[in-house]
Amino acid sequence: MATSIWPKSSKARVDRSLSAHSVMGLVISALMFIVCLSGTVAMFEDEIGWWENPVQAPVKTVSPEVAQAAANNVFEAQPRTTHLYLYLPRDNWQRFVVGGDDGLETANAQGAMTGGYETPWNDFLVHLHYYLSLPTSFGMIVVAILGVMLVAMAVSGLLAHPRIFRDAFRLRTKGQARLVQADLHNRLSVWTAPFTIAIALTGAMIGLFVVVAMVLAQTSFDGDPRALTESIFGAEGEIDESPAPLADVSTAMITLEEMAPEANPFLAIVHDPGTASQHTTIYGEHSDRLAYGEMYEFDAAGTYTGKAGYTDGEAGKQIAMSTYRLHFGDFGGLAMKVAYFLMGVGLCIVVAAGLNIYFLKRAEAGRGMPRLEAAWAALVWGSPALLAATLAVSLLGIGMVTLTGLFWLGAVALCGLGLVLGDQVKTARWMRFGLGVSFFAAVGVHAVRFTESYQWPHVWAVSLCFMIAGLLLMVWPLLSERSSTPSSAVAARP
Amino acid sequence: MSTFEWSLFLVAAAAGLGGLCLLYTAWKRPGRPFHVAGGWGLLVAALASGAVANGDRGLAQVSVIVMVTAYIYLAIPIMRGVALPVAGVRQRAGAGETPVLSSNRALRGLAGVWTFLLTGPIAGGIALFSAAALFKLMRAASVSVATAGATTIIASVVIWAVVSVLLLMEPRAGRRSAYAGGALVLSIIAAFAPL
Repeated sequence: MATSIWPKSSKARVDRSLSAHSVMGLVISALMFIVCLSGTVAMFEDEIGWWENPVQAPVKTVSPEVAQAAANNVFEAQPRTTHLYLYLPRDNWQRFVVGGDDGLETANAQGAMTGGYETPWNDFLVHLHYYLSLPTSFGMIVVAILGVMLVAMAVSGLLAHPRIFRDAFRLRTKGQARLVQADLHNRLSVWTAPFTIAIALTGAMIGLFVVVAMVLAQTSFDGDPRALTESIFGAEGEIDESPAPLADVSTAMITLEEMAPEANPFLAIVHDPGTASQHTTIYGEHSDRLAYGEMYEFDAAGTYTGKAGYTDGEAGKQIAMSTYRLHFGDFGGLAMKVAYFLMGVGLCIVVAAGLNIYFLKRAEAGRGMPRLEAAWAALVWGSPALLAATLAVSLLGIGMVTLTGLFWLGAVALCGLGLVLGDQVKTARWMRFGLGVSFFAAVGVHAVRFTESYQWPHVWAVSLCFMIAGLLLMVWPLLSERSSTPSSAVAARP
Repeated sequence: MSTFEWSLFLVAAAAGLGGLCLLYTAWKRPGRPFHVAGGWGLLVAALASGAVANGDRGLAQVSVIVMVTAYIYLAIPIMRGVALPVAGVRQRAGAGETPVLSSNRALRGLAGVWTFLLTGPIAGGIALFSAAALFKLMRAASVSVATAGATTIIASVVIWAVVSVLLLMEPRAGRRSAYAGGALVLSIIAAFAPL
């Protein structure tokens, strides 16, 4: 475009923005990459979790009577539980999962508990993304700060990009490596900027909620750290522990169907089950709202007592309740999840290309760091390979703690291998090959262990996706690299 | 969604893609201001129609459709193969061998740590206390606790990010420290001041 509506930028400001962008990128790239990668994969946590332990036939719908039967079964199995959960099947997640404080189990179409909800790899993945495998309260703040830094990177990146519109569609894939990496970094980040800012902002909001609540407790709520939480999410009332028959979940579901047919119920919670103060909450998804769900309240007899107002109440409640779906792309079925996955891959490429630009600038200035470049390539391609490898290992019955150790020790070892090899091209190629092999290994182990489950389409679909990804990763680089290796690059290798 | 809402949503998606096409045309053949204005206009119309068709979820869905389309346009040449991230020049002999005194290196390391502290925890403190002051202001203006609280959380993230960037953009370490210190003191006073 010849003319730009972007304000004319001063060179000094652009240089300083670029400098700020580079400094931030250098400090946080490795951790940021792992958070982005794990988040991208976690987009399919439901689908992969279902595939990981497919011992129960899909349950398409749950009638109010079956829900009541399941609630009775959970209460019988866990009589001391303070909350009783019924996760109802959804269009893209045909499972019925029930449980209480002592854990969740899958249930069949009759509401009988059948076990088989343990998904160690999924737990490891979620823990990696939410907390970077650190203790939860500390890890969540660390990840939230990475979210803040990602917003800062977006701000500084936009400030450092005076030709944002003039170069809007320009993408060089051949020629000088630094320009190619810069185009990759800039074009992908500009066109997916709303996505990046949305996920960074919502992620940081989720993680910093506790910190903000603590600060506000000191400045505005006389030291009460629960004041903010209770004003948005409500408070638990006084508990009367006198025994009572279990709450009528069935009537509550029928009432909800009659009074709000547009709300698709996906979670029912009985608070303080079996006590005089028990009550039922049913979360209903509204397909025209980003809110996680509207929270409908019922008393023990199943009589409607009110709703929280997450879809039509105070703006603050609606905003706070919209962060989850906006962060995880859960607002349009599988199509939106796939779109979020693709843009997540794009964000990983942006982070990887960012550090590549730094290494290439140094190399062009005669201060190349081939060993560090190889270590970075090992991290970029090795961490997805490690995720796939840990998935394969977890299917052999390995627990979450061991998987966490394997991933982080493996990441350190692979970076060490990169340092020793000192050749990023070779390192990346081997890591990609390892990633492809790991996908096949995971599917192989899964097929042997859960052969019977291959009667269900979702198991086939996930396995097929893994195999296609594995095949592409093993074959594609060999084909594309042969045609894309610049002759000058060969000369530059140490 | 009703038939009308579905139709409107499809129109919104089509408008978004049309807007993208117009912007691409304007980029490909410069000097067409109407294409630029039309492209942006269609994008805005697409978002508005998406919001009417399916609420805030519709707005988000149309945004994702536009972003993914642009992403796929970029992904196709990338999947055909890109130049390897290997420098296309030989390492210049003698370059990068400038001797660095060990005391200088230590000072630079300390300066790096100080910059990290300024743009991390101190900028975070500025953001959290400024946002807390904003919360007080909103409460004084009778905004509900939930709305003021949600705004405060968003504000703390955005202020933290912006303050970090601005501090890093300041080249002089002394001024950078002074700005950060001053902002921190002011934000603490504002956060704890009675209203």
